[in-house]
Amino acid sequence: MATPFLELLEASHLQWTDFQKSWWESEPGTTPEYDNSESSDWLSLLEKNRQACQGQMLEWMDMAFRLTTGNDITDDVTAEPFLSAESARFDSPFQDFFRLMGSSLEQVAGGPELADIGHIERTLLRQSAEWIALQEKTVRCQQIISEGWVRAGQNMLSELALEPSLMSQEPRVLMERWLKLLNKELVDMQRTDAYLNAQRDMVLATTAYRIHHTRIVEQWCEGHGIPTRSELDELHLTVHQLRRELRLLKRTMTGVDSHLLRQRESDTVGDASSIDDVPNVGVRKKTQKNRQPNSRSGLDKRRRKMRAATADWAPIASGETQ
Amino acid sequence: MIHNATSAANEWADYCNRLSRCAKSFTQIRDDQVDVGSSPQTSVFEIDKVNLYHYDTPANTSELTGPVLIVYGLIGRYTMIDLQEERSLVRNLQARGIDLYVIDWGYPSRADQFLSFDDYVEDYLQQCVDHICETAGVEKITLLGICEGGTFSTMFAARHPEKVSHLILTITPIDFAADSEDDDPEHGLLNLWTRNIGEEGVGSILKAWGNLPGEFMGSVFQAMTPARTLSKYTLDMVDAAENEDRLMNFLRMEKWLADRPHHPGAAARQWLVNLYQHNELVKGKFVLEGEAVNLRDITMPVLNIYAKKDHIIPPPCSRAIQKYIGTDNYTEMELPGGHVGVYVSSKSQGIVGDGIYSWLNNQDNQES
Repeated sequence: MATPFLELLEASHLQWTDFQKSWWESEPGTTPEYDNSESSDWLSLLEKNRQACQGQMLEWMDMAFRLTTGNDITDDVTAEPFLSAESARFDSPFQDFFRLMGSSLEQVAGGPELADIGHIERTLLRQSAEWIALQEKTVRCQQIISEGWVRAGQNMLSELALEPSLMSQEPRVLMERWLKLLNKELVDMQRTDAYLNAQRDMVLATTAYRIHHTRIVEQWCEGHGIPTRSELDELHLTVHQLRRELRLLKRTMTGVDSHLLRQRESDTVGDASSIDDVPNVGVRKKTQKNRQPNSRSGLDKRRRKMRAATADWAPIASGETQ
Repeated sequence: MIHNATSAANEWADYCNRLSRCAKSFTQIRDDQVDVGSSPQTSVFEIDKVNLYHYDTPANTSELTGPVLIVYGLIGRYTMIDLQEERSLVRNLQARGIDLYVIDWGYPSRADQFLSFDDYVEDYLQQCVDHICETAGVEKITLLGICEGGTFSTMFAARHPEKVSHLILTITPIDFAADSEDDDPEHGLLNLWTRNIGEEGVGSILKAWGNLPGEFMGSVFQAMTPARTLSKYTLDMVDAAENEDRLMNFLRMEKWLADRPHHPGAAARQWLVNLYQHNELVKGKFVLEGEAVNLRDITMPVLNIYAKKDHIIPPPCSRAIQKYIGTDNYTEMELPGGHVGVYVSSKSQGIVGDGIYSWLNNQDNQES
């Protein structure tokens, strides 16, 4: 599989080497021309980004100037949108960069594993790939949010164009109107599929990065004889299970004791009914079973249920994904 | 157009003045003056990190009802019900002669990540109820559940109807898919987002942090009201600083919001996956200690209080309980405000206290 970023890097490096070679071979006092056509691809993306940011800022400044000096903006707003959603995507070059970088790292980190070398390097590369993925997803999410902001801005300007008297209101009134519009637009945006997908991807990327980071720290801890988070989690799980068993046992024993007590009382007053016949007012059926003195099987059943209920904890403790 | 630039300049100058007054107030107020949950209470029972408190009966007040146990959820702290003296559900209920207890779940750490609904409902809550019954000399008590605590209470009432005389629910989700019945676009984002991240998303969050971090939930709640979050400190706080009482109210709310414990991981998985994503409670598939919770087993009288403008728990999610319980003795009370407004808004103060007391009284009269 081709790796665009590495190929770009390699081509740029070769061009730089060629340039140095031609410089050494050139006549004294002359400088050969440096061909940077290969590396100019992503540089041009960054330049495009810079220009988009600058253009947007100039538009905003112009609009703000005209608003505060009493000039009419109605024509501008009705003639064409203040800022198109396309021009709001000023961060797309960064996404391209992250995508290139991420795929390159992923290819190296996901390559065939060797038995005796490169373990730490692969782990660190994987960490870098996950960091890049996180940045990419974060930028994507921010991009969608910024589009919501731009739409809210457009809506506000449209309202101002349709209702010019608003401009003569107190600034606080305008602010309240803006916040209301912004809230509506952002809430609507948060229900879109684009946002929901970006939000989910960002959550998954954040947690993947953190989980891998913890793994690296744990490797270091193991090397230095320091207890790891996973070991502590296992310990807590064991303690938790033991405590539950203990409580269950206590509850069962209390039930048995109260039954024996009641039976002794009933024996004293000459009631010859068996323990099994003792009514359990206010105790649900399941507890009644457990309160029977010979209900060893009841206890086992509850233990089995508890084990079944806690079986899904194992992946949490061992650090595996569900 | 803004013809009056002087007006804008004046307003800006005024804002700057208010901002500086706000800053000055901050230099004079100490954190310990911002008291939250100040009603006198005594710890009467303790298990692990869980504490059962009994609110001390105020002087000149006689207890007119049996014990009422307030069960808060694991998201946020129970101090919401007693945010300040004049806006306190606790004081409102006590003033009407209700004998109040509350469970404090404490601050779960990563060591508590394996605590599940089984532990909270079948162990902690059950032990607290048993303790109250034993010390108060009664067979049954009233449960007053709040939000997730309402869901706990509902499950407990279904599993142990013999121990619950009345079930009062406030802003409690029961049908986690009923947000689709709410037309307000600001309502139900939590339901939508939780379903959207799927089991994989929930699993990865819990794997990374062990618990559901309080800070994470805080940021989710912030995102649900984006403009309000943006203007909270730049406008609301500066406005509030104009009046000392308002500023203190604002700071109390901030203190409560900042006091957000982590949600134990295993319980969070059940809350988000089994309930929010799979909606198991109303389907009769939610399992506690190996047995499905059957809402038809709720046979005691039920009072359901919900907020019309609740963006966190949309009203249809709360109101759905009526369809699933096994009693006709069901009463609804709709409040005008939002999720937290039920407890802190000045409008709802008397309404909630009066509503609960009157309902309990009516039920007692009917029974006698």
